Amino acid sequence: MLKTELKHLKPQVHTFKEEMILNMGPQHPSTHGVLNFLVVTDGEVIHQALPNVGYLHRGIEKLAEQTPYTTFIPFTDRIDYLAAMFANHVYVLAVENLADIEVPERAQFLRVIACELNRIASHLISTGALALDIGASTPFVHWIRERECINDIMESICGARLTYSYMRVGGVSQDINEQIADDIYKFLDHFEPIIDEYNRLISFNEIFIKRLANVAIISPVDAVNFGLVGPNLRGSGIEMDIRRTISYSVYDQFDFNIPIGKGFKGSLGDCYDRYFVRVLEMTESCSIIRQALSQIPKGDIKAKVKRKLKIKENECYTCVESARGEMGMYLLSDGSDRPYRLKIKTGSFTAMSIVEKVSQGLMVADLIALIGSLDVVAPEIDR
Amino acid sequence: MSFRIYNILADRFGKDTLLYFDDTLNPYIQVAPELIQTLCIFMRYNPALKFSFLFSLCGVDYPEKNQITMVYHLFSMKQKMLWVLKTSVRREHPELESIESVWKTAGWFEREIYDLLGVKFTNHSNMKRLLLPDGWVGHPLRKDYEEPLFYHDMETSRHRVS
Repeated sequence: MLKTELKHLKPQVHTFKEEMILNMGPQHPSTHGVLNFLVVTDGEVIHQALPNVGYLHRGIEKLAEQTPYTTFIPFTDRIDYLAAMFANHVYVLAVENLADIEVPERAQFLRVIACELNRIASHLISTGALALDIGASTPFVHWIRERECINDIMESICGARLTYSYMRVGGVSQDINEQIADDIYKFLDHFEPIIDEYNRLISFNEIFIKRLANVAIISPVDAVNFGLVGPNLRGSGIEMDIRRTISYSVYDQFDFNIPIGKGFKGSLGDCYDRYFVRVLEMTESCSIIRQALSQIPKGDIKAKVKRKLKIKENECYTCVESARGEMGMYLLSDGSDRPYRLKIKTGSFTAMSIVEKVSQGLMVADLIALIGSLDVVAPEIDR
Repeated sequence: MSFRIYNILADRFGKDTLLYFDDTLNPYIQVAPELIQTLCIFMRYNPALKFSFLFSLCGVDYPEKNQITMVYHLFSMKQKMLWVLKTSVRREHPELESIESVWKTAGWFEREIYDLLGVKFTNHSNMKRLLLPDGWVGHPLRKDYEEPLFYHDMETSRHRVS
């Protein structure tokens, strides 16, 4: 990559006297997956950081064109391994939209519960790993311990700890019983006070704040222009949440807040805002799970769907609010039993494209904070 | 709702240039490739429309029609609605105006399309492959793509162990 990229860099490079070109990754511990940055530095100051993605490209979109509708669900787990439930969800929603399938209400509640649990698990990794990247290793271990509880719950719900394949076209694969509902309540009772403890441990820690506040500020204009979504966009102060803006599933029945960045410890849209929005979101997710568990109706968990699903010519764009923001699928059917085209739009993809602009003028150590606060997951970028 | 927006667009660009289709779940507008940049600018900045988000941009290959269709998904916070634009280019030497100047995020989407479908975008700041290595031959999302058996003398097929 080096030589070809240099040509692209040229116009700005020559103004610096002692520029040095470094490769960060593909096996760098803070890149969370296989991801390479070409960093042009002048001393400690980054002049330009060019992301080089594609190491994990598996051609999932091409595979979708060769796989029948109902058997594609396990592939969607692999799009984002930290939040597999959302990819499951958006895919089955897309197919249900096209095939005009009515989903039983109980199944929709179960989906919401599973998704929100997964959101907490994903945010735990994201915030913990951010702390780990900038040098605080204790919080990560604490968060992994909490995440284990969610993984156990997930295992009892659907049999898998990470790659769930829990959703089916027309419903979900398993129901939850009293025991599992109790376990979830127990987890929430245990977890909600832990967030405060964690805040005392790390969020309001002086050194932690100094590392993140006023670092890598993304203005609201840039955030919209570069198509940031989810916590990254809300960190810049724009109140946009697909759960509220385009209400899907049964989210309109719950009462929850949408935390946005306010410049909590520095300026609006800095790394700390993006980090703290995620922490606040975990509390909201807990509240949604409680509401869903208390309101869940009795009934079927899966609609009757033909084993060999054929969908006549149509198309739709469906999106959900994943842990990394808006995740969308554009599904085009042509009357056969498999999609004609499936485009997967993910939050990490657009978040990655802003790194080149924001990284200019940062210190090398702050680039790590920026990538950590954007919460990119490499397989989601490359698909 | 969507008809109202179509009327605003038709007033500006004329009914003949915009073909409106509403037989799909998301209604869409098909325009000529030369018009796409102007239309995007209009949709983003017109105060009555304000489609400030580009949710997704992708290409679809239609070998039997000999064209590649680009699909733009725009979203407006103000109207809380999704809008779909389509434009088609021919499969041989496909070229299209880039909309990177309208939405920065289009830059990477367009690089991905160039990588996987082979559509060249003019006036793009860095028109290179994004996901596949620079030396890759062919564009995998085309329907007639055949995977090469070798890449840099490495076999790409998997042998069955028996």
